[in-house]
Amino acid sequence: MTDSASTSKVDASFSQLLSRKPTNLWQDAWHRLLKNRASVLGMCVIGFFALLAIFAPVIAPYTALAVPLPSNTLRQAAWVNTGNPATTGDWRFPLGTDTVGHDVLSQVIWGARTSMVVGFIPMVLIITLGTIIGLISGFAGGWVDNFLMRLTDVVYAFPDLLFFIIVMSALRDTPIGALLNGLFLLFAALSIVNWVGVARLVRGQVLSLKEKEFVEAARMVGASNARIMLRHILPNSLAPIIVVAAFLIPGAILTEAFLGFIGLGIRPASDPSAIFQTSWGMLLLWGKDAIRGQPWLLFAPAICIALIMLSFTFVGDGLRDALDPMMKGTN
Amino acid sequence: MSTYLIRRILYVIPVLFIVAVVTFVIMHATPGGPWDAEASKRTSDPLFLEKLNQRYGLDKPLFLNTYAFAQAKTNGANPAELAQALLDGQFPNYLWNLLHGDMGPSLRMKGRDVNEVMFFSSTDRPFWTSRFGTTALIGLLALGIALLVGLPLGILAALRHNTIFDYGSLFFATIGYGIPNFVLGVFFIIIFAVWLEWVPVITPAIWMEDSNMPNLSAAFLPSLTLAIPTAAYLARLTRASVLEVMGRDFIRTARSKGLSERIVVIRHMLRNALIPVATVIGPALAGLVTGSFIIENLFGINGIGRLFVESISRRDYSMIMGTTLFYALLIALANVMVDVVYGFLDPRIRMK
Repeated sequence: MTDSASTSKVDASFSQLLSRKPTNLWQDAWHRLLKNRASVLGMCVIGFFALLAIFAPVIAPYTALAVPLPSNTLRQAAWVNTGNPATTGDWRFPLGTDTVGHDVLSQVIWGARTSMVVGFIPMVLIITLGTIIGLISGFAGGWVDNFLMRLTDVVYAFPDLLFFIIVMSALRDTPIGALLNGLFLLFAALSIVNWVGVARLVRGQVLSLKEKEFVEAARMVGASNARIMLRHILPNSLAPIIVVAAFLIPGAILTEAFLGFIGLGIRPASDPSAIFQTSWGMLLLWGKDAIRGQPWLLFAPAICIALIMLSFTFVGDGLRDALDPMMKGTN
Repeated sequence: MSTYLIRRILYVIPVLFIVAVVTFVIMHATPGGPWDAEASKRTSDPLFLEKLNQRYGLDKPLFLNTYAFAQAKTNGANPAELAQALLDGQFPNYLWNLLHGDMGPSLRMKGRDVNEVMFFSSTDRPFWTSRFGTTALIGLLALGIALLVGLPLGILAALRHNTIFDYGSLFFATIGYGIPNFVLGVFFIIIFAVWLEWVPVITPAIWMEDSNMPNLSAAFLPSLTLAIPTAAYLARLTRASVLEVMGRDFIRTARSKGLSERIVVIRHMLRNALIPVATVIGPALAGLVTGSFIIENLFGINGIGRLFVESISRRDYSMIMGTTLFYALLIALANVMVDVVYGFLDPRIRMK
């Protein structure tokens, strides 16, 4: 009696398993990611900042360059009453203004745009470049591999931050540095430094995958090298590439913020219709001088950077756990 | 082991050479020079500039002096003299002086050498109050704080696994590792300096005027800020490592022998769990080294990181080379240390 009950239970769970909708690796990973509360929270915050970035001209009360209320005092955040009508907060400027009269809230919203672009575009460039070089290096072997790997050694040896500081300060005032308010130079510098890690990772994947039976099978049926690389090896090494990509984004955002903070970030726009007008790093630099007079000029960009960095860390951790369940909990 | 060690240390030399070449090329490709920065309105007499360039060797070719070489050849010089003439360029001269421990005169600080600015203080004060001493003090204090906070936090979190303490420490670790430390530093300055007024906004001198001893109350906040990401990373790693060791058979054996909990934890658990942690001290040091740029600029501390950033904007060529090579050396040594510790702990790596 008990025996048949347990058997039917097993049958039930078994048939449930069989009747489950067929899923693939990516759907499974996606479900695991959705179960991770911190990651979901992180994705929401990133989504929020992405919306701010895309719709900055609509959302922000003013452009980042507009001077809605010219003054030479720091207007406090809206809820602060200093007793002086020139500095007391005003809800038209929720986070106050700087000495020139720029609205801090608008500046922060426009800054989100720069940060998001700095996070995503170099990531795409780095992943593309790194993957191509890694695939070629791992697949070709021989002197090509040797040459490319020595090249990665050279780039790897150069301290990142030193390189960024030297390149940004050296080339900022040249025509290259002026492209896209200096964003082009920043993208280039970030890509030159970071492709190395991706290339090494992909090469390692290729070296281990190309000995596997499914590659041998593909070769047996006459698949070309390009087909083996793109249809068999690349899709199987996507998971670690995605995890690396997730961590490249906050790295780039952090680099931009730090460079802006020491005055070497993007160049402030002078044209009010410019797409990228200001950056959080630049706001931190200005805010630091106003630390006593108007703490929100410093606080607002600092909170934004902290939030976005934390969100990307959560999502990155979540992705790693979701794509590679064996790694879970092992840092 | 010793050949492995020597090989790893020798590896630093090509790394430094590459760093020197790249820095030198970018530096000289930069518009502007040491004599004109900031004084864009004031133009010096061209004759005077020529004299200055001659005095500091900036009139020579950057790499190979083919002009002197050709001249020497027509004069029928011997091969040694020919080589000397060919290598009379700015970069070979710099390297030659560097090998003799001379990093050249600063081009922007009148009458001072790069060595002196980086490693010595003013004449009547001991050498440790120099910029190097300041950077080193902040870095060592930060390493101390990171170890003192990170290790116990990670160990306790693992021993009290899945309790409120564990979650608290994980929360701290995620915050510390996710939020960049210069942003944390901004929060610290606002909270401790502006709101609570415990410390001044501008960090006072790290070395006291009269006694030449470190002013720990001034150095504390910068060191703490620098230490936090490292502490968080150590806590995460220690926790994972202790948790892994806790489930091993030899721990069960130790317990079943009737050893006291204290001995099991200290002698059996921690000894094994701290091995992987020891291997990350190297990267942690490298992180502290690069972190010092950020912290010195944020807190306004007169160390080498700030000197580096300042000398770039002033186009002080010899100072840029000196500070860049200094940082590159520290980071390269930290990386070597990683390999050495790994090699020491895992004999398989040495064989490669």
